[in-house]
Amino acid sequence: MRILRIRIGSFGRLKDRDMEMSPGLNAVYGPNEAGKSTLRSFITTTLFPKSKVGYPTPKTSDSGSVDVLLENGDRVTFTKDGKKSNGVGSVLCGIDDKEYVSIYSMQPEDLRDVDRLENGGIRNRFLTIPGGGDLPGAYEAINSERTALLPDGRRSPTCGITRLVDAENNAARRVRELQNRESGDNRYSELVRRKGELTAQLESAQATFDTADKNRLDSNAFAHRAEDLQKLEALVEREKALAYSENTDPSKLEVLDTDIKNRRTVFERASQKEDACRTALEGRDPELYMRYKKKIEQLDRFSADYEFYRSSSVPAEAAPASRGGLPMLTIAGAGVAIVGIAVAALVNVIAGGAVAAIGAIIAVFGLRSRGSAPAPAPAPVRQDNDTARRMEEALDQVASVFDIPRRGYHADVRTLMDGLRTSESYREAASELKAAEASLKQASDARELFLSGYKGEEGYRRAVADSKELISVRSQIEALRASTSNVPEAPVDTDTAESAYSTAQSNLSALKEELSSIDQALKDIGGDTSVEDALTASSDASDKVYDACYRWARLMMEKLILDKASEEAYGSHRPEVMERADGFLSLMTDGRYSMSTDPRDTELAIVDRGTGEKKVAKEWSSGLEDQVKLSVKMAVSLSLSKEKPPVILDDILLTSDSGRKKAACKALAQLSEDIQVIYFTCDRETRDFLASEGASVTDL
Amino acid sequence: MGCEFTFIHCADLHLGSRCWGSRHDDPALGKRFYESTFASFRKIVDLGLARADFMVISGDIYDELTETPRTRLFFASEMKRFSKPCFIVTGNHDARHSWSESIPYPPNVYQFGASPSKYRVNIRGTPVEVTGISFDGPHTDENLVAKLRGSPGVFTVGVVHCEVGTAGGYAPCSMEDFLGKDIQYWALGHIHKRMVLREAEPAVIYPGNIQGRDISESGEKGCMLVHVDGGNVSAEFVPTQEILWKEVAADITGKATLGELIASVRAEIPSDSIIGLDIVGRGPLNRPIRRDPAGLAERIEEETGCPTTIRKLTCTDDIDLEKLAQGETLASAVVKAGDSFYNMSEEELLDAICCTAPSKDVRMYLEYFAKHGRLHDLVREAQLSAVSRILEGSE
Repeated sequence: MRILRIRIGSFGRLKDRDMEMSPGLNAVYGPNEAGKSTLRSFITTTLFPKSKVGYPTPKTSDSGSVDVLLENGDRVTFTKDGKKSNGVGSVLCGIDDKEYVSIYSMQPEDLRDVDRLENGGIRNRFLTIPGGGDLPGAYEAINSERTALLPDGRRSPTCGITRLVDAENNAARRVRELQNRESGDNRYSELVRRKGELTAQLESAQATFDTADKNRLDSNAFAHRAEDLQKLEALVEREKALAYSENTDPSKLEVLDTDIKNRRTVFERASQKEDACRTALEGRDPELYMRYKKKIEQLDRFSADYEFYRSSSVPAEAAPASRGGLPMLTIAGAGVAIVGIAVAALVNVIAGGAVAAIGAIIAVFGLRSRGSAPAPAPAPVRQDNDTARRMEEALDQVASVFDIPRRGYHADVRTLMDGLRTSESYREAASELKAAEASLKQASDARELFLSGYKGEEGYRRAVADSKELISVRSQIEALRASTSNVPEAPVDTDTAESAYSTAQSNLSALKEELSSIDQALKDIGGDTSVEDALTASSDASDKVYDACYRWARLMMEKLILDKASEEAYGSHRPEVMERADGFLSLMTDGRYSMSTDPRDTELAIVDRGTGEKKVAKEWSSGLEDQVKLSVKMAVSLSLSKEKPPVILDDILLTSDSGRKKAACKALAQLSEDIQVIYFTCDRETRDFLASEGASVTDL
Repeated sequence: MGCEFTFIHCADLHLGSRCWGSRHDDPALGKRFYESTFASFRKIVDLGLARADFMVISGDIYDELTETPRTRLFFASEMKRFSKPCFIVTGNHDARHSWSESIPYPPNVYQFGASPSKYRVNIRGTPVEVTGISFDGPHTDENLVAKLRGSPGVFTVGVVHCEVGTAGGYAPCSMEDFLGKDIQYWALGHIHKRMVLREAEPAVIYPGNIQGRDISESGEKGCMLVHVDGGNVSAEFVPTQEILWKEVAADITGKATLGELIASVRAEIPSDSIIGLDIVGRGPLNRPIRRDPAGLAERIEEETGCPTTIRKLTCTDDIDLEKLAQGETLASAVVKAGDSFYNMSEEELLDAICCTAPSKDVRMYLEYFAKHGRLHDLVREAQLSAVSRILEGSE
């Protein structure tokens, strides 16, 4: 894409301008404020409307057009009308507006901005081989971990592996120290030897002790024999004195007392029962009751028929029936008649008479019905009345004998019967009491008889105590007889024996104590885990070293693989853009510098052809920086798009010295063979250098 | 040789030896590791008491450093408990004796010296001969096997610590050395992996060590219970290990979540084992696992109760490495560069890795990995890690 003609109606301070451009190198010259930057802005925002060049401020009155010739020979006019433009440079060139400003349309500050080169897709596409764009990141990740483990240059005391190796050496030293401390098995061996000696000595000391102990006991026994014999004699005498108590039953008295106690309880219960009966009889003589028993029982038996015999108002014929039960109809009829008579007398003569008549009829009917049944033998009515009277008389007689209060036949008979039964209980209780009394006496007599054998209770209790002592005395006699019967003649006197015993005991204790401490020492050595712990620590430390070394070696191998891969890849696929940039830089620096094409570089770098020294951005002068970045951007501008948009440079060489300006102009002229270049400058020298390189010059 | 009898053959007890390669700073696990060799040997003695007539131990009862009073007292005490004849030789690790004077073995233990000797035991009326020879120091280039001979007509067990088929300093010998010596059973020690070099006439057997001590000694460990009937030998391996080290491959291929991956390996993890995880395969889990491999190990440990470490991380994104190597991207170059390193020998790799001045200090440690062929694994891990970094960065 090459600009052929620019027409401006109004844009910033530029009004009614019409200028033609050469398809190759163009120089637009004018003093400050002549409108060079405005013209660059007009072209840029017309072709790439979204570009933010910032100056001048867009206005609705802006107008103009740019005629361009495309690579395919088409001629297109892009028009600015107010704040809008129909420019489609972005679509035609396949780059965005920011890339256009960063690579193609630059002021000095745009030239120095390489963000788009180093961080965007441009680096991967043009400055390295495919996939190489992230090589520096990969290297950084690998090398930071790898060199932290082990640096490449000099050995570092603080690096990971060195510290782990030191720890391993320390742990191994600790193991050696502990093992040297143990000095093989010398100490253990000495302890075992000493233990053997002590064990033998202990055996001998034990035998000596046993003998001394026996001697001591023997001498003591012999010394005490006479005393023991005297003691024996006294005990024999005592045994004789106690012999009487030999068969004393220590629990016999207790048994007898318990028996008495039980019998007394029986006696007391019988006595209470008798008292209760006597109280219930209220002073009446129970024997009198017994004498009248038959009579009272006869009165009681009569009690059931008493009412019948006593009823003298009942007709004689009815009496037997009544005994057997009057017909209910007769009774009901009589009842009704009585009620009828009462009603007639008191309330209504007619109604009452009627009721009485009905009742009479019913009663008669009832009597007739009865008369038709088989009749029982007629009872001697007159005789029954006599019986009642006789029984009453008998009752009167008995009641007066017992002087009971009179409350009627039945109540009186019940009172008499109660008295009779209480009297019977009384007789029974009296009998029991008598038997209990005899039993209690018998038990008391037995106790008394038993104690009489010991002359009383005190004597018995003494005999019990003596019988216990007798057992003890006999046991002592037996022991003393045994101990005194075979006492040998003492080999040494008591003092000598005691002294020998004490010495033997002391020796034995000392040996046992030493043996115990040796056992403990042996146990301590056997159970000492310090060597084991040190071995474990040493093993762990070694493990960590091996782990770290393996990790380092893997990272080193990864680096070696990447080194070899990048070397081979760049050897066979050197990026074309870097070749071109190298050419431009060489041209601008008179062959002194070339571009570094090492894919491991993380930023743009150059190589001093004279010294071979690589220089990165921070080592460049500002002039050299402009040259490097311009070279790279020029190279990129040729490859970024097939429809190459014009390169528009706004006095980017203004601060460069004459030599750099001249060299740059040569490079721009070379660039313009492939892409249109429009250079705006207020610098006469630059204008002339460009003109001498064949640039078409436009003076504003 | 018509008698019938049974004996135990074990070797490489390494009592008190420490375990490597699991997480540090876990005292309970450390204690479990430490006790494991003792526990395994205790089981062997139990087995011997129940089923064997005698025992042979083919060297390396202790490590150099671990022959402490505790370990020696333990062994002496177990031998006393065993009470039946036990024949032992020393190996390269226990050639130097400590505590032998003060903590002697009980009289049922017969220890062979640095010269060949023979013992005869009478088993139910029939003599059985045991011959053996011990290491005299931590190394020997002597062919100790060649020095042993049995007795014609008597079943003979040869006990020796040696390395078959190498020229190293551990009593090197060849298979031919075992033949024609009137020895019917060669009880070997030194190699920690169980190997039956020859089943009969004569039987030549390495029982392996009795307890694995790191993930490279994975699988069941124990002793051989050797039954001899009419001169015919049948050897049965009896596992006695206290801790089982287990290598488990976790294949991320076709797995969408870590949960799926964990579920796929759970069945392969025996209870109470120590797991060394090899993460292999291709798929989307490559990235999250590479970002936090320890996190995956912790999750498996939480779910299984088995201490777990990542042993190898050789998984990749869902890419075909062979195809990738044919491209012209940096990742392609990485694959090819990794392959070129992979084709080097362990020694060449060691030289390549130790290319800086300070790395001379770590070379001796890396030689251990080179000796065990681990540097090729290391190259593969580094290659795939580098590929993942480059591909992840390029997205």
